[in-house]
Amino acid sequence: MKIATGLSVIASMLLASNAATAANVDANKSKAAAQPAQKKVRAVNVMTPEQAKASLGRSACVARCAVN
Amino acid sequence: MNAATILDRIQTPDTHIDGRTVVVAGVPQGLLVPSLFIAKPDEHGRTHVYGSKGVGACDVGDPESVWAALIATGGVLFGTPDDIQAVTALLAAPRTSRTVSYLCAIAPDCGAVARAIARLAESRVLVLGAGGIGSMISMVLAGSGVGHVTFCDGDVVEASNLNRQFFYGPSDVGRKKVSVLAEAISARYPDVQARAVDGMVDLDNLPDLMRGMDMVVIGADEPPHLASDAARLAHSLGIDSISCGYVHAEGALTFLSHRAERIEPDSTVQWMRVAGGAMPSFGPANVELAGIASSTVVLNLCGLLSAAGDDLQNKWPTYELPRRWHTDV
Repeated sequence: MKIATGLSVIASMLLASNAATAANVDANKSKAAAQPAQKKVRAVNVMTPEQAKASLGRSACVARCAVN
Repeated sequence: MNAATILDRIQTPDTHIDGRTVVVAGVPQGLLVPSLFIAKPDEHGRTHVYGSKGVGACDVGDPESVWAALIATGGVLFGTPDDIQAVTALLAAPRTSRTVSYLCAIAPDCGAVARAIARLAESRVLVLGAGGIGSMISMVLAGSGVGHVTFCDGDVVEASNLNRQFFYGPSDVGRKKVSVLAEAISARYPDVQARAVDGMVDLDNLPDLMRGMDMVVIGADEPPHLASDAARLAHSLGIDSISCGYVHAEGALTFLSHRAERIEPDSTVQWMRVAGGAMPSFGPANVELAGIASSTVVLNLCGLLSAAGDDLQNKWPTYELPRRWHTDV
């Protein structure tokens, strides 16, 4: 079975699916590219190690990394 | 008629399958995913294609029907010729073949798989704890292709650990866990930078340990506030974290994205695992938790966690499956 392009229906179906996948991936990339603004806002809030430690409200916690 | 015969019969003059590469008019278009399964046809020639996105029925006597099922179920992972070639090479390499097989079932295209493997190799993960959960996570991450794994623990191997901490043997009893684990990882994966930190962690050294990490895994449960403190520290430093553990027969995982605006109190998913309950140090619970946590870490590092259908912020519908199983039972 041939279609106008000279390719079979199956070949056309695969090419169309590949193109649709690529378009969808590109769309998601564009969407992700729009997110850095949001990430940037979050990044401003990133603390230094000293600030992070102080934010926990305790001077020290001795954690034994052991069981299980 | 087996799967190979079915795939052979659906080829046309302009569409053929070379190995697992789908070629149209001489140009590679995609790969048959390694996890693809085609069931034996029934007496009417109907068969089921099990792809990465689902299951589809088709008529083996109708090539168009089979191809449609392969496409609809995610049996074909599309991509550019270069990306297809790169993934084919990664699938052929013993060091990467199984991780790539796994990623092929989740990634949107071949390019995403190739990029994911490169990102894993550059990734740095800190694992707190080298016991039944932490040691296994460290080893699995190294095996998955994570390039840098740092693990910390202050304990020595005890004879009672051997039932579930499989990288320690009888001859290791009395030795530092992190030393034995570093040797085990380096022996198996010399390309991985395995850094052992021997000793206690506290608020003074945790920030330094986390510096430069892409993700923190909390696999230790003493004292009780370690998980929350470490997760909050990681969040403050802009690092994703995951903590895992269990209470009696309930497993629990908590993923916290560095992008989360605030630390949600309900970001933990819990599920009942073993009917009748199990003691906390019973081996299988560690294995399951370590497996799920490792998979989550790998997907997150690859940027594919959302592609797996999971909510980056808190909820993991995928992990509700075991709970439903339990309910059904």
